[in-house]
Amino acid sequence: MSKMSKGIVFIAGFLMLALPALAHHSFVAEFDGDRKFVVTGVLTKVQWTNPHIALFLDAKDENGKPVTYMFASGPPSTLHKAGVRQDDFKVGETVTITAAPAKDGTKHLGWLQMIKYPDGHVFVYRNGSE
Amino acid sequence: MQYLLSRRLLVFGGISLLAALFSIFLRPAASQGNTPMKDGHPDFTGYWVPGPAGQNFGQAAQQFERDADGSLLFDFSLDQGKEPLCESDDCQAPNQPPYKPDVMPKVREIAKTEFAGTTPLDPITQCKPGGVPRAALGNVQIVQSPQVIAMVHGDYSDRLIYTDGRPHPADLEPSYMGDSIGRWEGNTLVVDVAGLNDDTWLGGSLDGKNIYTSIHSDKEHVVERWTRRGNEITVETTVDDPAMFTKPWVIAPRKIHLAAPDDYLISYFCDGAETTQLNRSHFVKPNPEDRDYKNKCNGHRCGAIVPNANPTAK
Repeated sequence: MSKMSKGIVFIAGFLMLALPALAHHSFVAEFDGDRKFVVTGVLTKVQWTNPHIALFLDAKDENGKPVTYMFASGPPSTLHKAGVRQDDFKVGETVTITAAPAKDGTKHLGWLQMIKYPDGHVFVYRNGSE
Repeated sequence: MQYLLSRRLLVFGGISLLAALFSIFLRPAASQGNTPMKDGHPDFTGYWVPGPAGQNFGQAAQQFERDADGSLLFDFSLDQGKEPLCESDDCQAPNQPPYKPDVMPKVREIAKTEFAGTTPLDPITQCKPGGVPRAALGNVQIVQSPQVIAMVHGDYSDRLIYTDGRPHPADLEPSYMGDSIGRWEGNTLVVDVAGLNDDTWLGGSLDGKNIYTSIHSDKEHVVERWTRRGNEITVETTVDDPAMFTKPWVIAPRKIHLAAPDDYLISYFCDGAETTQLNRSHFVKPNPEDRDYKNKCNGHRCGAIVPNANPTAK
């Protein structure tokens, strides 16, 4: 990815401790980090809640019919501490999202890996499987 | 003679007054040092975060930088440790609750549903409070007065520890976080927790090493010992459950430390909706053929783990 070579600093996530194991989920029990899918659509909603934020995207499925995708990401507090704010996700913009698919086969659900805006800037959320 | 005495009294009184005023107005914030409360006991007031002093997970925020065009790289892969996921008994944490033999079948049944250290059976996946000891620490704003110490998490696991000498209420009804009363033994706050309902679990960890740490009864009773040393508090915890344990369970000491000055509590509302509770709505059962299961992928770090040449059949 060309953006990675532009010298973006590697940001560490947060260690989740044994006790208390609050708020977090188990990525591998829900998502397949070995695969990805890409969707372009209009970002319609940002749900800034715990334990996961969710982005909602209006797109078209393979038959051209309107469909809503949901992409999950980390807890608001974790993102907040890395400098990410709710309005960094621009509702109304057409974006391209790369995501890890759900293991249970749910088609319009993914774990956010990258979101790219029309002006070319990206947010990349690595999950260690690249 | 009387004149001299009264003059000494005056000087003494003046100095005392000055000292008192000095201590009231120029007393450093308790969080900056180990200044005791006016009643002589240690002061725990401040915003505390998990881990020993010096281990600042929050440093990620301070090292944060964005690219000139606004691009951000945020890495989740470091947030669940570097060790492979534990999916067998031989890597289980040794100090798990001493359940009675008649309780173990239920505990094992729960353990079998765990994948990557979690299961939809965990009450936390329904946004229930973590109970004690599981939600006793965490990120916590402690507000201390001589009568009561408030442990504020900014969610439904807040606790009040009454230090005014009262006993547990005679008609105490079980609740998620129970009833906590504290007394001082020297510089250690000893907290007695009773009235805990059975709708919480005792713990768990996403590395899969605590799959046999789960249920408890409403007879659970916890004693905590809180001791502050500098900018760090050590909490020693003993959990007893006469209905489910063969003996009291002594947890390894846990530590919290004062957060960085620019860090603060962010409140937490757990939305129980399906879209946010992925541990329930889209959880897949442990499957020995699952690539992550076979490769013992810990959280997000699957790509970095070398596949196990001899996967353990379950």
